[in-house]
Amino acid sequence: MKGFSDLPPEILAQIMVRLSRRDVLSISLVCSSALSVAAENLYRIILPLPSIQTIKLLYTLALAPFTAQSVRTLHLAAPFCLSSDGPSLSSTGPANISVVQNIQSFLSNKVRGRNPQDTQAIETQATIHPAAAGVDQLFDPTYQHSIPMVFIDQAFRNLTELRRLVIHAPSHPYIWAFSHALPSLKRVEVQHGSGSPLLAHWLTKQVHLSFPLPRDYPLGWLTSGGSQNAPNSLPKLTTLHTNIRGLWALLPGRPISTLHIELSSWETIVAEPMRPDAITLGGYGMKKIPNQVAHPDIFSTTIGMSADAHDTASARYKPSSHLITIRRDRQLEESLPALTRLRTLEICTKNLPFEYVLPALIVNEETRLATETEWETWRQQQLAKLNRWGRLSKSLKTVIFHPSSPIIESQWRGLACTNLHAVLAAGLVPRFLHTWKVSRLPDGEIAWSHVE
Amino acid sequence: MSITIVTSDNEQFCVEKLVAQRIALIEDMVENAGDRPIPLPNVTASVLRKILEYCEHHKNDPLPPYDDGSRSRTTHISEWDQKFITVDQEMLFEIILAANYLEMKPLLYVRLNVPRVQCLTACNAVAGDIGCKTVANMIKGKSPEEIRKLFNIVNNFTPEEEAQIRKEAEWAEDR
Repeated sequence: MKGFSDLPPEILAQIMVRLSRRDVLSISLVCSSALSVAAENLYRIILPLPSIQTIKLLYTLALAPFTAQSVRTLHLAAPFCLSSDGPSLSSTGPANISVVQNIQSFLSNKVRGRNPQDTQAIETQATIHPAAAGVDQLFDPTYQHSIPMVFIDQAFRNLTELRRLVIHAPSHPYIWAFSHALPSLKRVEVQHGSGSPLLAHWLTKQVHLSFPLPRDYPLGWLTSGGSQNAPNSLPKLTTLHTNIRGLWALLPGRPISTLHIELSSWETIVAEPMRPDAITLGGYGMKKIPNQVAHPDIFSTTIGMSADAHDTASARYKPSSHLITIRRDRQLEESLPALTRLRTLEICTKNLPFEYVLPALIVNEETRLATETEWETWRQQQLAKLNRWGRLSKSLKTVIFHPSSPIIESQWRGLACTNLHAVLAAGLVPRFLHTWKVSRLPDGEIAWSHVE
Repeated sequence: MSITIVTSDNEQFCVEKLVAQRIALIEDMVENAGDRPIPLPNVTASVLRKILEYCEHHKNDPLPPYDDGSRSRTTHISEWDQKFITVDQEMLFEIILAANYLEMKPLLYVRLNVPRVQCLTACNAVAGDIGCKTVANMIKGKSPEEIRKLFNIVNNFTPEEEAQIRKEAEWAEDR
């Protein structure tokens, strides 16, 4: 007598696509043969989930590598913390307590069933990430009760068959701080406002590099020591949708055939592919602004770009009015007089006070006040630079300072956008990403004003 | 023109070729068989009778459009099909399994010069649509225990395994 148990997996799969997720869950608990098909169906496409469910999902993906292999499409819409769309840890209900217990269990059992390399990686991250330092700090309020990186890292490590990743919302500042292979990922979509330099940094570490990097490639920007030192992965990445700043660190030599950039204005820009040795993009599309406005005047340079390359690029793409650079001050100042159409300059800041520890310091009012003197000194140094640059480039109108590392910038952006702390919201953003505009007076003097 | 089909229990069916060709496996075997009867060792007479009833009713239906996946997610069953598939559970699964077997003819889509998915969808409509929809409708809203009872399935999970599965699937529950 034939029955349900005789149905082959392909027929079971046909049945399950007609069922709700709740029904598929029920089937997964019926018997082992139904479980494998149900899990395949349940995990194939994971649509956006609220925070608590996202944390639970990551828990499963971290602990169940075979299950994680079923995931083909993953939508991330939550910042992986307890307090953004639900109760904070201090008022956790039963569901949240369960999450904490799960994570406690994970940390205490993390060695079980893992190969030594994985275990070492987990333990290393557990020691570096403050939120993973101890069970009592798993959801560190300083970091908005984020799920520990150790979980995120392991979950992504297990997503070996992930084809498509869609990022819907700004993630926790640390989420993209890990790096390992996602060998099957073909498509990444970063929804408006959800990108960050740290995400770009993560992508750079994932992409398989098959070309020799320029000798002077800006290693300082990539805190891992440069893309060539990062693990190679994402060899099949062919499409990237993003609106992120910092993308210029991502582009050179990566096998991206299509690039869509969404910009709210033409001030933010990426133009690394215009370098003569960069890979030509198969497609180049922009929303909101016409190509003829945005494309030709986009220009960027790096330490590695020689004067010849610079001239070639300028001649080819019209003189630039927008420059993104990480040149040293002296190098920049040598170039400025020649950039006669330069209007906007974006540059990373080398000596931002307390750059690496500020988020931890500033939440304390006492320590925040203690940093004010440092800030004022640094501000005067920046103003001195601005005055020099304003005199060297008569066309320069705007200067935007970035932190020296995309990781730092991403952390700060993340902290600021979550409105975690009133002090952060009020004081942090203008300091980590600050814009100055110049006024040129009739007597030849210049005056810079900070744009809030 | 008609062809002869022999089932696993040695019953012979004389079938109009137009009807038989709705079944991919038979469509392919007709050319090689010549005038000889076509054996179907995996299908019993009672099941084939039902499948032929379906083919006879749908013999003039146009091939369905390319299935992009959205169509297969519905559970609606037409009135005639609903009546047709109102059978006991054993027959239901026999029909599904037989239809699944009968559709396995990858060369068909080449000969008909249409996408394979189209052909398979047409020929496998019994299994792909009505059978699966019927089983899906039987499962809807039931607990794991109710499903086991309904289909006489033995729970081969230990309590620990079941608890682990529930724990892993927590993310999908509270929405």
